[in-house]
Amino acid sequence: MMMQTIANTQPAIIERMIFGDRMPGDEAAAWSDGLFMMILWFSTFFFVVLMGLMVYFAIKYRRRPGVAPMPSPHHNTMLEVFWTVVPSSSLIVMFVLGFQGYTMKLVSPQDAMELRIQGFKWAWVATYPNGTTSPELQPLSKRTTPEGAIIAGKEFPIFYLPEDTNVTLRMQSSDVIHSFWIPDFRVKMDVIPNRYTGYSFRTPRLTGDDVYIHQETGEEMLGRDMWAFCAEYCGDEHSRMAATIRVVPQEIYDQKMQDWGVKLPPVELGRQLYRQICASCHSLDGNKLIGPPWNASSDDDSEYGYGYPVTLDDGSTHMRDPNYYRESILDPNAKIVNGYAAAMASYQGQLSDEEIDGLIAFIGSLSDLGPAQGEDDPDVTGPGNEAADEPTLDQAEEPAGSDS
Amino acid sequence: MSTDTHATYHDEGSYLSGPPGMMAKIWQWMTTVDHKKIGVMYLFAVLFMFFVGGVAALLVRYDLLDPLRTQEIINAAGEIEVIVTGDNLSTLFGGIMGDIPETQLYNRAFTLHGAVMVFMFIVPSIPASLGNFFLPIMVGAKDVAFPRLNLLSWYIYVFGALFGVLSILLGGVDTGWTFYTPYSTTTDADHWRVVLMVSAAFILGFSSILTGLNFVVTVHKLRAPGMGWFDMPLFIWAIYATAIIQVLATPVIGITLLLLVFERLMNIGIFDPAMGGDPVLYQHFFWFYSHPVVYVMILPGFGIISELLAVHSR
Repeated sequence: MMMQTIANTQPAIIERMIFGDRMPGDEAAAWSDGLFMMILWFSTFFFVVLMGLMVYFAIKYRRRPGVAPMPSPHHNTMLEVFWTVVPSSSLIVMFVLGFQGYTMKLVSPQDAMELRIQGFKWAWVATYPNGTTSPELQPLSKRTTPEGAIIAGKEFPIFYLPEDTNVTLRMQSSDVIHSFWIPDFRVKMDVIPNRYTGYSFRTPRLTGDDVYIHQETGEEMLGRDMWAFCAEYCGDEHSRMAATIRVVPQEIYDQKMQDWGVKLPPVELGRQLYRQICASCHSLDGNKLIGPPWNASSDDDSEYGYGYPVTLDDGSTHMRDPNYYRESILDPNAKIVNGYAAAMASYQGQLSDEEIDGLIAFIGSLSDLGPAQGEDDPDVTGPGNEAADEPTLDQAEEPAGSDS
Repeated sequence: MSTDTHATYHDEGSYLSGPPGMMAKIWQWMTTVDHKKIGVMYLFAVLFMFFVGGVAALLVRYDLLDPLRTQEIINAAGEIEVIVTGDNLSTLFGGIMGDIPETQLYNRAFTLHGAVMVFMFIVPSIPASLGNFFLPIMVGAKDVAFPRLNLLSWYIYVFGALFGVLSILLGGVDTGWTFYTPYSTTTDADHWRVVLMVSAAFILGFSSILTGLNFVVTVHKLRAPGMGWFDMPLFIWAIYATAIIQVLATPVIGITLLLLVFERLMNIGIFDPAMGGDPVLYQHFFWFYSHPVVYVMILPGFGIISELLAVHSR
C-alpha cells in the first residue's frame, strides 16, 4: 500500500496530479491519501477487468443472423461464492482502514491544545486558550509597486498555530450550518448552532521549504500557510468565507499570544472587529456591498457616515446615532436601509457591550461628524503588535497612485 | 392492399383513427386512462422540466464566464486601480428582482438546477414514463391496476411542477437543493418562494407514491396466467423494486418538507436550537429519503441495461 509519509518523499506523478503539490499536513492526512490511492487502484483494476470482459463478450456473443443463441449458463455455486466473498472482504478491509483514519482525526490526544472556532455568516473567528482572538488579516492579493501597495480581494483572518503540536478544534456556529475545511489536513466537519463539533490534527514540523512572506517587511519568514474554507453552503458569501492557518515556530506563537493579550482602545477594538466580522458586507470606501458602506461620503452624494441621516426602505429618515448603530447590530431587521435587503443576522449574545462600543467608536472615527476622539496615539499597543503598526484601513484601501 | 389501408386510414369507423377535431383529440389525451398515453404525457412533462433545469445550469455557467472577483486594471488615467467586476447575472436579472447581490443570484440558479433536476426530472423520469409504458405490456396485463389513479398521478405531477415553476418565476430560492435548516428556515424574509418550492417537492412526492403503489399492485396481481415471479423480465423486477422504495420512502420526505414549511410559517421550533430543536434532525429526516431515492433513480436504468444485454446477446 502506498502511504505518503511526511518525510521528504517526492510524491509520484499520479499523486501530484490528484492531490496537487501540497504535501499532506500530518500523519492522519497521509493515511487518507494512502487509502484514497488504494481504493483508486483497486477500482481501476476491477473497472478494467469488468469493462474489458463486458466489451469482449458483447462483441463475441453479439446477435448475428443465422447464429442460434447459446444455452444460458446455469447456477454455479463456486462462482457465486467467489464473487460474493471477494468484494465483501475488500469492503471490510476498506472500512477498517477508513475507520482507523477517522478515529485518528476524531479522537484528540490528551495533550492537545484547544482552538475554539466560531463560524457565522460569513467569517471565522478563532479563540486561543488564553482567550485572545487573532487580529491579523491578510488580503488575497497584495503587491508592492513603486507607487505603494496594491491590495485586492477580501481580507482573510490569520490563525497562528505552533509547529509540531497536537491541536483540537472545538467549533460552533452562531446561525446556520457551516463546515470548517482544512484541505491540507484532509479533514472537514460541519459546524452547527446547537452543540460543539470538532476534530484534531497535528501541525507539521517546519522545514526549510516552509516560508511565508511577511506582510509589511516583505521578508521571508519561517512558517507554513494553509487555507481553511467553509464547506457547507451558508448564503451569499459562502464561497468567500475563508481563513489562513499559519504554522509558525513555537517562539513566534508564544510572542503573538503575549502581544494580543494587550487591551485595545475602543477605536482599535472596533477596527479589529470590523475587519474580522463586518468587512465581508460593509465597505469603507462607498462601495455598495451586501450592506451599506460606513464612511462619511461616497460618490453619489448620499452620505453614509455617522451623524448623517439615513433613508429607510419605508421612506422615513432616521439619524445615524449610537442607538441606531446599537439597534442595527442587535436587531438588524428593525430598520432596513433603502436599496438593501434584510440580509443581516443579529449579533445578540455574540458581541459584548464593550465590543459594541468599540464598533460605534470606530464608525464614528470614519465620519467628519463623529464624536471627538482622544489623542490619536498610533502606538498605544505594545511592541510587536502588527495591527497597530500596519497602515490604517483608510490608507490601505486607497488605490496606488492617488493622493493619500 | 395499399389502397385498402389507405381508405381505412381516413375512415372514421376505425378505432385507430380516434375522434376528429383538435379539441376532441386534446380532450382524449387529457382524460385518457391508457397507460401508454399516460407514459407519453409523463415523458413530455419530464423532458420539459429537464429543459428548465438545463437552462438553470446554463445560467450557472454563464455567470462563471465572468465570475465576481476583485481585479487590478489599468484605468483611464493610466493608473493601476482595484475594481470589483463580474456581474453577468445581475445585468440579466437585476432589473426584475431588485438589489440582489450577484452571489445570491448565482446561488439561486444553482439551487434551481438541483431542485428541478432531482425532484422534477430524475426521480419521476424512468419509472413514470418507461415504467408506465412497458410494465403492463411486459407483464401481460391490459393496463395498470388502477388506471384512473395513474392519470391522477400525472396531474399531481403537473400541479407540483407548476408550484415549482411559480417559485422560479417569483425569483427562486437560494437554499441549496437539500434545503438544510437553519438556512432554509431563516433566509428570505418573505416566505413564499421557499414555501412554494418546498410545497412543489411535497406534491411531487404524492405523484411518486401513487405511481409506485400502482406498479406494486400490478406486478402482484395482474401478471399473465402462468407467469411466475422468476419468469418476469428483469426490467419489471427493477421497476418493482423502485416502486417499493417509492411507496416506503417518499412519505418521509413529504413529512419532512411539511415540517419545514410549518417551521418557517409557524415557528414550531423542531429544527430551531433556541427552542430545543435540532437542525441536524432535518438532515437525518431528509437523507432517510434521499439515500433510497438514489436507488429509485438508478434501478430502472439497471433494469434497462439487463434487458439490452440479454436481448442483444446470443
